[in-house]
Amino acid sequence: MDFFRKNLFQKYILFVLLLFIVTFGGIFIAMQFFGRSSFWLTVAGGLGAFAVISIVWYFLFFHQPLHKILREMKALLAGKRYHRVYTEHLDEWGVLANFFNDVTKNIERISVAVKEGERMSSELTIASDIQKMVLPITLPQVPGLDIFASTRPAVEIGGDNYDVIRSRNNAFIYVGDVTGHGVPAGLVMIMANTLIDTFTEMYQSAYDVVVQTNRMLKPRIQTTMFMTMVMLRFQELEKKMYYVGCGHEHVLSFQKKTGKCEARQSGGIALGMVPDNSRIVREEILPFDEGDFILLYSDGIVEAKNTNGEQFGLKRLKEAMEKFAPVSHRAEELFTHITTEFSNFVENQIQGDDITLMAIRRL
Amino acid sequence: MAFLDIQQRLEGAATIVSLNGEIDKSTVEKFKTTLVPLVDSAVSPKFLLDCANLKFINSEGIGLFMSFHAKLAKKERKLLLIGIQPQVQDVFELIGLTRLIPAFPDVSSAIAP
Repeated sequence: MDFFRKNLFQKYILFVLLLFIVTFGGIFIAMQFFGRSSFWLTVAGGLGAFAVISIVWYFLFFHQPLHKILREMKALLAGKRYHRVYTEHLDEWGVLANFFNDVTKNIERISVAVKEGERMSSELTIASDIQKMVLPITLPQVPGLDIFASTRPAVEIGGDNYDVIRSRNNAFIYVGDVTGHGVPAGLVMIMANTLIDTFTEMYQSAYDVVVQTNRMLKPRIQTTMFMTMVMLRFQELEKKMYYVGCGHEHVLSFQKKTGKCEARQSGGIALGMVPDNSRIVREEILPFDEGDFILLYSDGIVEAKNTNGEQFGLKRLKEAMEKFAPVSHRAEELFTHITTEFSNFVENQIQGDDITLMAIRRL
Repeated sequence: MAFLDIQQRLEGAATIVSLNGEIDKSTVEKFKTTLVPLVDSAVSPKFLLDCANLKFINSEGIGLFMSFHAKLAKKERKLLLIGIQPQVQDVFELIGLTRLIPAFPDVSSAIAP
């Protein structure tokens, strides 16, 4: 019987045949019982019964299941609440009802995934906004210095970090770069930023700030993560610049009197690599006279590649500084010249790393 | 898309893993998934990473080097680096990794008692 249950047309034929036999059998028996016989009466009775049977069949096997499925489909299309179509039909209606149930189940699954994606995306935007709040909107004015800096994360959240913090007669200026990018790097960056902010209020040397930041950071981050950094300290009364390197990129300094750019290795060790960096890092003086420039940057600048796969590199950055520092009167001017040179080099090649550049001019 | 080939061999009391190619954004996951089980199951006292054919390493790769160093140190085993190329050496020195993980010019000098 399953053969007939699975096909609407065969089901119709079977139904008609059965009821045809029953109807005409009934008419025949009735005529025998009343002792009357008429051809036209038999035909009329047969056709009448056939019409009634067809209407009943249509209502039971066509209209009702179709209506049931259509009602839920309309609700789905109108964005209203819909239900699963429960049916015992094995025929085309059964296939259609199961198809509807499967489709709506998948829609619900996709809808949950989309909502989750939207939630994650919205949380990433919030995290990105929080990170932007951590980064300085405007840098504080430091007497004797002109500073301009900017960072561009590769994705919503970046691992690069920079700030200028004035505390007593010192200005602490740093550029940091946490391993990788994205949310993990961003979280470490925010943690480091807060620690540095706190320690610059407590200590008066960049050395102490770096040692204490490392001491607090190391046990709080994964062994695969670290943050490279160069921290400058400008003593506002002495007008002297000091620096501490923590495994970061070179410190570039342009001296007006020689017209040359010097690249100093930052030295030290990245924050978070060893529990105690106090014997590895040291604060050193950095010659910095009126009209001189210092350039701090993250590896996203020197490791950026153009369409031919060539890196921008330290040499190009140094040459750009030597070329543009003499014609720049403000830190922002040098910054703009170098970023233009950088953009011309990398063109439209998408960069996978965060990029940070800071220019400082001694007034 | 960068290329990275990783080969492992045992030489005396040392496990040697040769890295050929670049560890960048596209290969760092392969480096991680291949090396983590090797480091976790390392029984020899010295674990050598042969970097003679390693042309580039990003900061995530260096982070993994550090993590392997820490894992092995906990088991009283040593991570040693072999034949680092100048451009990779510059990055290691810049970050300060060479202060943490000893480097040797070749396998024989690294496995020498």
